[in-house]
Formats: sequence, structure tokens, C-alpha cells
Amino acid sequence: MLSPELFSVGESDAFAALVKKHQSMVFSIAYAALRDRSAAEEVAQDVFLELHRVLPVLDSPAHVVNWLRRAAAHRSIDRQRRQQRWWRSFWPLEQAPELAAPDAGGDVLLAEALRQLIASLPAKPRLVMILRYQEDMEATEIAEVLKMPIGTVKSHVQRSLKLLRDKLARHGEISI
Amino acid sequence: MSKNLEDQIRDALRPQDPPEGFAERVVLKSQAALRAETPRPRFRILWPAATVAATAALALSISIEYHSLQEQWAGRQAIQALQIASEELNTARNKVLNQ
Repeated sequence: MLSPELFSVGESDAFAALVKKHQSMVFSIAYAALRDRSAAEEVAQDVFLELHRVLPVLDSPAHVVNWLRRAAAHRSIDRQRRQQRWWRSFWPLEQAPELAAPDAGGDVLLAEALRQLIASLPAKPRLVMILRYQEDMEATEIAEVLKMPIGTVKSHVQRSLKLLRDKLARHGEISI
Repeated sequence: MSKNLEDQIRDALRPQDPPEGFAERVVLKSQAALRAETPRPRFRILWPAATVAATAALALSISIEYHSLQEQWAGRQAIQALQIASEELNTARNKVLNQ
């Protein structure tokens, strides 16, 4: 169990330290999923406010990190689902939109193209890709955080990588 | 080939810092939320007590006023009875004197 004094009203400095330690991770997960800094900040704030309420029942700093990853991922998807038409979330992976600016090269544009493509993936594969490549989590960890079978996690990664490779190659963005 | 793409994805998804002052805003909001959730027991206890005290005081003053009015009414009744008796006696006295 985390130290009880961390949760008392007067210990806002300890909570602030916790926020500062993990703010980049939480904000980045939300931003990678939503591609909107303002929406990502709102989601990240909600995640930390919820953390403030549930801190007393989290067993360890490792649980805090896992809880933050899961909350950030699910809240980001919930937020986007509220903004989208309901049928949008049922798009098959292969129907992800084409790149908007396919005619430029360079690492910066490639990175932006990858971010666009990942953000356009359906909810579950998008979360898997963000946790895999942004958080460097293993498939077993992702399966635990997202409560899905490890086979499904691996399948999402492979299918998403293939899709990204195909889309980028089709537009001459990569020579890989 | 695949590894190269994976490295590119890692670069693209490099963690980003939130806007300036993010942590401070979160802490302020958490404190505000805590204040909103925390009940104020002193007022919770005082309000019913104050209501009971005010009701008791009102009932007491009504009771005192009622008894006071009752006494005044009884006094007036007694005076009226004495006046009637006095008038009757005067009438009887006059009748006796006139005979």
C-alpha cells in the first residue's frame, strides 16, 4: 500500500509530484489517440482527478502506472467515441483513411504521417499500437492493461504494422 | 524492414509534454473537488439544533401569550360578573326603598 500521508488533504505537494512524474505519459497517450492537444489535456486532467480519488486503494507505484495507462487509454477512446458517429468505430482496419499529404518526404513528415495513420486506426488496435510503441510495453503487459487476450494484442500489432507499411509504401513515404 | 518501421513508429510516438502549468491546474482542480465533496459537519449539526431551538422558543412564546390572554379574559369575565351582580343588587335595593 502506498504511504497514507500521500492521500491526505494537506499533501497536495506529494500529489503534484505524482502528476509531474507521469503527466507526460498520460498526456502523450491521450494525444496519440485523439490528435488534439486541448482534448488530450482534458482527458489527462480527468485521469489525474480520478487517480486522486482512487489512490488509497492502489497497492504500489507500479499499480499507479498501470492504472494511469489503462485510464488514459480508455478515457481517450471514450472521448473519441462520444465525438464520432457510432458506426465510425466499426470501420474495418483496412478502411482507415488515406494520408492527406502523401507527396512530401523526410523524417518529420514521415513521423506526422505515421501519427495520422495510427490515430485513424480503430479504437482497440490504436490503443495497442500506442502502448506498444510509445510506452514500450510488451504484449503481455498490454493484454493485462487492456484486459484482452495476448493473441489479440499480437494480432492487432501485426495487422496494424502491415496496414501502416502498405499505406506508407503506396504513397512513397518509406522505402522499407 | 519491419524493425525499421517499428523504430519510425517509436520516433513518431515519442512522449510529449502537456501544456505549461498542467500539473498546477490538476492539483487546483483536485483540491476544489475535495472541498466540494467534503461535508461541513458543523453546519450539518447546527442546522437541525437551531431549527429545534427556534421551534421551541416559538411554542413557548405562543404558550405564554395564550395564558396571558386567558388570564385577561377571565379577569374581564369576573369584573363583568361583579358589575351584573352590583346592578342586580342596586335594582333590588331601589325596589325595597320605594315600597
